[in-house]
Parts: sequence; C-alpha cells; structure tokens
Amino acid sequence: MKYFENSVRDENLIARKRQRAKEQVSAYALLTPFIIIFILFSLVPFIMGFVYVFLRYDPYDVGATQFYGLKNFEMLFNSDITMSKSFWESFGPVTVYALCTFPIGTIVAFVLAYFVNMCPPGYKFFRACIYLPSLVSISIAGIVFCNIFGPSGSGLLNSWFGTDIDWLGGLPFKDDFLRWVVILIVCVWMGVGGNFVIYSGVLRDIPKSLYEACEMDGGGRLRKILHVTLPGMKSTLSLTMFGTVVGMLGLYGQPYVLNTIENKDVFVGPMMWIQNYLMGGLTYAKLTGYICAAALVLGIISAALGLIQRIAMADRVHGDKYGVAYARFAQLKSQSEKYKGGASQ
Amino acid sequence: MRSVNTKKRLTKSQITARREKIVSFIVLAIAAFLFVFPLIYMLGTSFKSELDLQTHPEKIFPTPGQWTLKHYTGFFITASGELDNMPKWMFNSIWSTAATVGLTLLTDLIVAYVVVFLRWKGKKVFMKLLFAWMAAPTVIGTAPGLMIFQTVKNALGANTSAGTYMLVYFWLVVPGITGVFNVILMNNFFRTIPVDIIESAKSDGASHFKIFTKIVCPLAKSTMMVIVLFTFAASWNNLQGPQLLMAGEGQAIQTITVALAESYGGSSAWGAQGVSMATAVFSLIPVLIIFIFTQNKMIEGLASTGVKG
Amino acid sequence: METTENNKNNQTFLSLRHLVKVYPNGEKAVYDFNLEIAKNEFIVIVGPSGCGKSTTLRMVAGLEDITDGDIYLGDELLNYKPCKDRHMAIVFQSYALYPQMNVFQNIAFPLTINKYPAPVVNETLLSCAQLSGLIERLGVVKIAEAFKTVNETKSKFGNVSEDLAVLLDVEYCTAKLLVKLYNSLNGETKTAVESNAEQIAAEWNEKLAETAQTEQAKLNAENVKLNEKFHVLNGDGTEKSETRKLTRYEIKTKVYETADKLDLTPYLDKLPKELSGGQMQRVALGRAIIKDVPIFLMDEPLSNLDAKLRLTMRSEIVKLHNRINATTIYVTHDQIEAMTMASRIVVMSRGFVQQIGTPEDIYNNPSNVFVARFIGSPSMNLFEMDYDLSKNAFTYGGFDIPAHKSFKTAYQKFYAEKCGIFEEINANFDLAAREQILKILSVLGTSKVKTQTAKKGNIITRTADFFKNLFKKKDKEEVDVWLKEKTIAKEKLEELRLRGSGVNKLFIGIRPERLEVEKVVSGKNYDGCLVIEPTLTELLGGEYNVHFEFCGRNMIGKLAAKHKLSAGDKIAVRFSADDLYVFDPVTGDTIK
Repeated sequence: MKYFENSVRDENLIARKRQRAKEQVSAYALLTPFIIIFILFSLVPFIMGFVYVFLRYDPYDVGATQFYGLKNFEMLFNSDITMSKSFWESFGPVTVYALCTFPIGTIVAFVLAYFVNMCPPGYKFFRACIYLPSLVSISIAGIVFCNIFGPSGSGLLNSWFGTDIDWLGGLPFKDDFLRWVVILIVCVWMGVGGNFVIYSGVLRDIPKSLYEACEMDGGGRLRKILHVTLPGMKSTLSLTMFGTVVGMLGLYGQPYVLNTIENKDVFVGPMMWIQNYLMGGLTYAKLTGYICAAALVLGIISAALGLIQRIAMADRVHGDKYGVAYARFAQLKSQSEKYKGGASQ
Repeated sequence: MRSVNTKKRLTKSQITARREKIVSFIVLAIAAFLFVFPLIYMLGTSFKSELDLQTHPEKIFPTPGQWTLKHYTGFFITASGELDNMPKWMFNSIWSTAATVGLTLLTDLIVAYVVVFLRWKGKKVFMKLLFAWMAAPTVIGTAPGLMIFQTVKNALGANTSAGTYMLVYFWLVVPGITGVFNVILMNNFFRTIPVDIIESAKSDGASHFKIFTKIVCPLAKSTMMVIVLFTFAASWNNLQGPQLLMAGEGQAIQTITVALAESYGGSSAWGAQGVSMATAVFSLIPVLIIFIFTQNKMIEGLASTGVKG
Repeated sequence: METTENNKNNQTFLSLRHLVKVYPNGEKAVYDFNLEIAKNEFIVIVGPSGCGKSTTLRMVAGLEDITDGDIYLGDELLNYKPCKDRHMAIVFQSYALYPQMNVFQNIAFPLTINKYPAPVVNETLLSCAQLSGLIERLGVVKIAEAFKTVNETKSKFGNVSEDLAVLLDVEYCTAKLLVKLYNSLNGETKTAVESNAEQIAAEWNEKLAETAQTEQAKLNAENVKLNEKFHVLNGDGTEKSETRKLTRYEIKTKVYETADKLDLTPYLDKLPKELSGGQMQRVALGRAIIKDVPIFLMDEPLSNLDAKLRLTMRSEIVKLHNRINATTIYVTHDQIEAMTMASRIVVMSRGFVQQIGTPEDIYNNPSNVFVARFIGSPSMNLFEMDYDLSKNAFTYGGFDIPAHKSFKTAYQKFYAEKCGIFEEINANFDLAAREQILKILSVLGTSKVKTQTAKKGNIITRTADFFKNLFKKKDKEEVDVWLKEKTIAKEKLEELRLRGSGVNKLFIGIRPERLEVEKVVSGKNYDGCLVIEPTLTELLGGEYNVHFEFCGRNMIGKLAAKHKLSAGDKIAVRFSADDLYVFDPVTGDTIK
C-alpha cells in the first residue's frame, strides 16, 4: 500500500517536472525573437559605441580600420578644432534652455492637472485639448509656429499687430532671445500634455480621506497642497522633471524646424551636432569614432542626471531621533520624582 | 431661533466648491483654447484662397465663400499627370507605423506574459537587465547603428531603389518593437492581475494560449490603448531616426514627418503656406483618429499602470 | 420657544435636528435624523452598508454639506462652521495617516499647523517666582546635581533647558532662566558648589529679586495687572488671552504623553508604511486625542483590522473613551461592536432611523422587524403564524397557542391607529407621506424605490437626452415616480383594513437564545415541545447552533455542548409565549 502511494507520488512528481521543463522551454522560445532583435539592433550598437571611440573607422575599407587609442578624445577635448569647439559650445544654449523649460513645463502641467482634478463641467474635453498637442509631430509644429511667428510678410502675429519682429532669426548668445522664447513656447506646447496626463492620473489616486484628515486638522488649501498633494506626487514629479531635463539634452527637432535661412545650421544642442555630422555622408564617416566619443560624453551626462535623480529620491534610512528623544524624556521624567520633595531628605 | 435658520445659506465648503468649479473652468477653458489655437489656425489656413493668404491683417479662418480645397487636391497629382510624392509619403508612414504598432503590441504582450505568468530560470536577471536598459543612454549606439546599417546596405548591394526602400523600412520598423519602456508598462499592469484568476483558469484546464487570449488580453485593454497611442505617436512623429536612414536618398522614400520637416519646415516653408498647412492637416488625421479612439481608455490606463514611477 | 426647551434640557450637549442629506445627483441618503447627545455619551450608529450612517457622521464633522436641518453644539449652530472650528476629531476607516511623516510628525501635525487660544503669561515674573521657590525647596546643591544628571546623559538631540524643565517639573522659561544663572557661575565654583552653596543661593536670589523688581516696575508703568498665576489681566479683571502657535517644547511633551497613552513610543520614528494595521489605528487615534476636543467621531475604525485585533482595539477604544471622557459618535456595520461599545445605539436602514436606544432596549424591545433582525447574533428567528382575533390565539397546524389577554386590545388598538395614519396618507399624499411609505419599505426590506437616478451615459446619449428633455414636460415624469408609492400606500391601507377581524397572518419572532432546546433522550416525556431532527448543527465550542425547520422557515436554536449531538439525534424545542415578538407584516412595526 505504502509502496503504491509512493509510486503515485513519484509519477506526479515526474509529471510536474516535465510540465516545468515544458514551461521553461516555451518561455525561452517566446522570448527569443525579442532578445535577438534587442541584441542585434540595440545592444550591439550600444556596446560598439564604447569600442568605436578607440578606433579610426575607414568607410571605404572596413578592414583598414585601425586602433586609434585616446586620440578621438584628445580631438574632442581640443578646443582648437572647430568641430570640437562647436560641440562644447552647443551645450551652452541647451543648458540655459533646459533650466527654463523644466520648471515652466512642470508647473504648467501641475497647475492644469490640479484644475482638471476639480472636475469642472467639460473637463474631459479640456483634458483632451491640452493633451492633443503632445501628439503633434515636430514637423507640423514647425510649420504652424513658423507661420505664427513668421516675418512681417507672412507671420500671423506680425501681421495682426502690424509689427516687424524677427522672431526666429537669432543666433545663440547674440540676439536669439526671441527665438528661445518661441522654442520654449513650442516645447511647453508639445511637452506639457504628457506630464499633465500623468499628473492628473496620480492626483486622482491620492486618497480623499487624506485631504479630509488635513481639513479636520485645520489645514487650508495651501496646507493640503503642501502636506498631501505634493508628497503624494513626489516620485512622479521628480521622475518627470528629470525626464524633461534629459529630454532637453537631446533637443533636436524644435531648433531644426524653427529657424530661418541664416541660422539653419547653427547647433543649439549636442544632439543636433551629432545628428548633423551623422547625416553628413561619407565626408564625416571617417570621423565616426570621434562622433562616438561625443555621443559617449552626452550619454554619460544624461546617465549621471538620471543617477542623481535616483539618489535624491531613494528611501532615506530614517534615524531614531524621536525615539532617542523620547527615551531621554521618559528617563528624566522618572527621575523627576527625586526633585519633587524638599532639599534635605 | 429656528426661524432664523429656515432660510438656508450656503456653507463655506459649498461656496469653495462652487468657486473652485468656476475658477478651474475659466482657467482650463483659456488653457485649452491656447493649446488648440495653433491647430485651429492650421486648419483655417489650409482652406484659405491665395487672396486670403496675402491679405493683412491675417485672419484665422478664410473669408466666407472663399473656402478652397485647392491645397488639398493639388498634391495628389503633379502638373505632368504623375502621382505626386504626397500620397507616397502618406503610404510610407501609414504602413510602417501600423507595422510598428502591431508588432510592438504583440511583443510587449508576449514578453510581459512570459515574465509574469511563466516560471523559468533567469527571470530576475532578465528583468534587472530591462530596468537597467531604461537608464542606459541610447544615444551612444546611434553612430555604430548607422555604421552597421550602411555596412549591411553595401554588403547586400541594395542599390536599386526598391532594395534600399525595403532595407530602410526594415531598419525603421524592427528595432522599434523592442522598446523597453512599453514592456515594463505592460509588465506593471500584468502584475496587478490577481494570480488567483490565472490559477483558477489553469485548474480548469486552460492552456497558456487560452489564458493569454481569453483572460489576460481582454483585461489589458486600457494598457494596450496607452501603448498603441504612445507607439503610434512616437513612430508617426519620428524625425531623427528616419532622417538618418534616409539621408541622401530620394524624396519618394521619405515618411510624411521627414518630408514635412525637410520640404515645408522652417526656412524651407516660405511661399507655400497653404500647401504646407494642408499637408500638416493631412498628416495629423491618423494621429487624431487614434487619439479619439484611445483617449478615454488611455487616461484610465495611465492611472492604473506604473507611469507614476 | 426652542430656546426655553434648550435651557430646560441641560443634558443635551450635541444635538442633531431634522438632518437631511440629498446628494447632488438627487439621491437622498439621510431622512430626518434626530438625536440629542448628552456629554460623555458613546453613540454608535449601526446599519447595513449604504444606510447613510457614514453620511450622517460626515455631516456632523463638516465634511459633507447639510441639505436640511441643524446641528447644535450647546447653543452654537454648527451648520456653517468649517470643520476645523467644530471642536471635533475624526478617525477614518483608512486611518488617513500622512505617508511622508513619521509617527511623531503625524501625531504632532494638528498642533503644528494650528493656533490655539492661551492666556497671556508674563514669563519673566513667572520664572523668577518659580525659580526662587525652587531654590528654597531644593537648595543649590540639589540643583547642581540635576545639572550633572542632565549633562551626563546628554544626547546629540538634547537641549539642556528642555531636559531641566522635565527633570525639575518646571516651566520651560524657568528652566531657561536657571540655565542662564548656572552658566554665569565660573567653572571653579561649579565644582565647589557644595562649599559655598549658601553664598550662591543668596546671589541668585538677589539677582532674581532684582529682575522681578524691574519687570514689576515696568508693568506698573504700563499699568498692566497680573493675577496670582502671572496671567495678564484685561481691564475688567478677566484673563487676557491670545491665539498662538504652540512652542516646540509644548508640542513635544504633548505628543510624548499621547504616544505613551497609546503605547506608541517605540514607533515614533517609523513611517506609516512600516506599521501594522493596529499600530496605524492607534496613531490615527493619537492624532485625534492630541487635539483635546470634546467630540470624537469614528468612521468604521476597526473594519480594516483582522478579527482578533478588532477585539482588543474594541476594548481599548472603550477604555480610552472612559479615560478621556470625550463624547463619541461611532459608526459601524457590525452589530456586535454596537452592542458592546455603545451607551446608546442608533439603528439605521436606507437613510431612516429605525430605533434609538440603549443596547438592552434595542435588544429587548426592537421597535420593528428590521431592528429585530439586525441586532443579535445569530439573528432572530422569524416565521409567519395565523392569529385568530376571535379566539385571541395563534394557530399552528390545528393547535391553538393562546396569546396574552392584553394582546387582543393591543392588536386592535395598533390596527386602528395604523388605519388612521394610512387613511390620512392616502387622502393627502405629499412629500412627508411619501417618505413614510419609503420608511416602511426600508423596514420590510422590499425592493428599493429609486428616487432619481442620474444616468451617466456617453456623450452621445447624454446630448440626445438633453434634446429630448428640451421638448418634454418634466413634471410628467415626477408623477410617474410618485405613482408607485401611491399604489403601495393604497395597497397597504386595504391590507390594514382587512386586519380588523378574522384570521390574519402575523410575523412572529423569537431570539435563538430564548428557545429552550434539549437533546431528546428516550424515556422522557416531551409534551408541549416540538420534537424534530435538526437540519444542521454547528459546534461553536461551548455550544451548538442548531438549525431546524419550523413553519417552513429555517430556525436557529442554541444548545449547550455538554452532550454530543450526533447525526440522527432529535431535539425538543420549547419556548415561552413571553419571549415572542409579534410584528405586523404590513408595516413591519412591533405590536405590543
């Protein structure tokens, strides 16, 4: 009897093991296409990026590619070379620009989400309207905003107010203030929607009872925002803010489409620099290692920003400040008996 | 004493609620108008006649009776009677975007299902790698990727326009479907499905294929909508990637977004206001359609998945 | 007139009068809620989910607007006061702790953001007086000893003045002054305090007297008067008061005291997510207690806890209530909680108050069939029996069970009264009449009559509805809604009229605890008992719940588990007529 039971159990065990193995195999089979594509088209180029920086690539004869040591970096950090100089200079405008966009973009998105959360009549329609521009391609945005901010001959604003303002003609750090304003407007126009939708989702998830508790405790609107809303959105806010900053480093489309003839090829961001030389054809192909070095620098900077965000938002180990303070309080309190009576006892 | 109170005045919270509604309505109405205004202007201008385009001060909509479809009909057939580039661009964009969206959705569903509901070795490592990849700066791989593309192109000898076309679009669609963000989005959603449902289906004898098609996919509708909208918009609006792959090729190979940026964008747009606006309107239509279909589900999906970090 | 009534009824502390709540979508959640609450009472509002009990509580708290009716605290009308000025604290079901704050900060939160009225104190004079008393009482040597104790055990978060204030049990300002005096001694004398204690004491006293004198002179010049506690007085002799934020020291001591009361001191640094349900519950209680308000509101505070913890927290809350003596309104759906905790219970169903009374009252004299069924576990056995008016007896299977002599008159009186009421309702069917019908439906638990349902369709159907309503007359719809209740009223009246004579069906109820159940053993006589085989027995440990069929209904009795009840065993059931409750099936009310 016992033997029989055991054999049944063994059989079950074997069947289960077989099932497990089958599951294992089918899992790998299903993942294979994803993994292969991922490795071929994402991982391999990524790793090659680290290799190419040490090489001098020969587009005409791949076999003739030679080891170049740190020369690519030497070139990149040598500001006498015009190309390198323009690369480092392109960080200037983009930094100024990121510092302007991310607070404005975040605050506008937050304020709009906060109002949508009050659910006024038609809020769904408004929500759709505000989100819509973030689906519009940068090419369309370029066409429309070039027409709005165009020169007096064709621009909507200039012709409405009868002015002749050259909105889009500026060069970096010379007379580009107006161009920055336009780019900023386009960025806010296109970028707010995504953050706004995410924020309104998170806002909706903050428990109502927390607001009510705060109200019972005597908190007004400001206290509610300070102690309930913002803490509830903390991780989302930091994530989207750093996302915006990193996105700004990769700024390309907006300055590419919002321009005039004279500043068409001015680099206002490292991404534009990289893209431009990559599209340069065979002339620049032999500089691939050099361009890779530039991309590596850009990549490291954006990864560092991400790391900073993570460290800033990590769960801090909280101390035992209040516990220690209480222990001391209790200790002193218990000793206070000694001092209750008179002196001489 | 009671008689004083028989007339109900509004309580403070009622007053605030009412004020909140009014203020938020006004603010949102203004914001919504500002956000949509450029698009309205685009739509209006695309119907303007030549005369309207030249009058000052400019108006948002054409003069009544002067509406024209000229800018729209103009770009289908060239003056010499051939098919113009515009329909080609649209076709390129539509099929490549549809393929990207479909394949992405399929990949994401399968990968997320395998990760969440199947038991296999190396799962934890796999997930860790995916999360690590989220933080990896992909810009590093751009140049080598392009090099590989060109090497492959030369090796295949794809010099005919058809061959180039195939290769370019293969390279455009296939790498895009492994977007890690979408996989993680789907993965986060699958984790919220109670395991009991899957277990009970299993004990009823359902195969994994049945569970996947009959239980998991229907539940994931709103997350799927989010991914459809994100992928569609990203793929349709992609400028940088296609620009690199198509650099130096003819106009016919371009997607509508690339074509718009290069032919009508920025400094190249002068003098073709009507046509450029009409093209822009035309290229916005597919996104708009997807948006209208997905927007209700999308907000829901965004709220329920891990976008909040 | 109302005022005189108020003065007469001094007991009343919080009074809820004719409270009505209609939600913006037209749904009526609470109908005419009346309750006078005396000080220190523990009121439990109990009812099934969706009966309006939480809404009532939230109206009292000020979180929900009152559609109609008044709330008075003493003579003060609360309706239009924002909730922070209502002197109430609420504990939520979900605890509502701020996730980013630790336990200390959570409890301290109400204190840190509000200003509180406090008498204006002249700190200089107070500290001088207290300090000279201290020097006299303890002597310099002992004070130096205290300093030594404090300095020896000093921690990095410590503050000498605060520590001294705790140790010597004096005001913070006094401790501060003492530290100032002590620090003015040079290091040498500090070590040799004992040898020249007298001298130091004299020195200090002199200094104190000097400070006090100059301060007093200043006050005299400004013509400010103080009372014996050094509180500044107004011109008319009353204490002057100001509203101010509490100091750090005051907040600390208060939080520590509260945390101590609730055994939360080991968790002061923990975040809510690191706490168990019971601990979170206690933190929520702490946040309510620290506000030191006369009224506590609790909205199902125990329903998120597991069964065992619920039991202990239940007794803790009652103990706490007895200790801090706050008036408490407690909302729950659990009738056991209601029975064990309450000094008075309010039973609600579908927005109507069914009965208000002490737990014994509610249990022993339920006013209608709903209350009878809702209170008690297992719930009351209910079955139908024929009542023969001419014989004044209940008939069952050919047997007559004689009713009490007085029952006949009670029965006749009850129906005469009810007929009168219903005739009036039918004659003049207004809003009040309709609500009476709705209340009867809420007692009987028959299908709910939807008042108004705001349909939320998609945008297309809504626009379609909008245009439809544009061309349609509204009042037609309203008549339709009323029609349903009107027919019910008519039907009820007809039924009631029939009950004046002959044989009628009545609801009979008896509590399982009152059924005398016995295990049948052979050879014993069971005359006058129902001998039956149970359909199901549930062993609870000490006793059985015995299910059996009677009058076509499932009945439950209790049997002590002294004798094992096995399958096939029969039981004998007997009850006394005094334990029976009789309900009118038409209106659900108790006939007595």
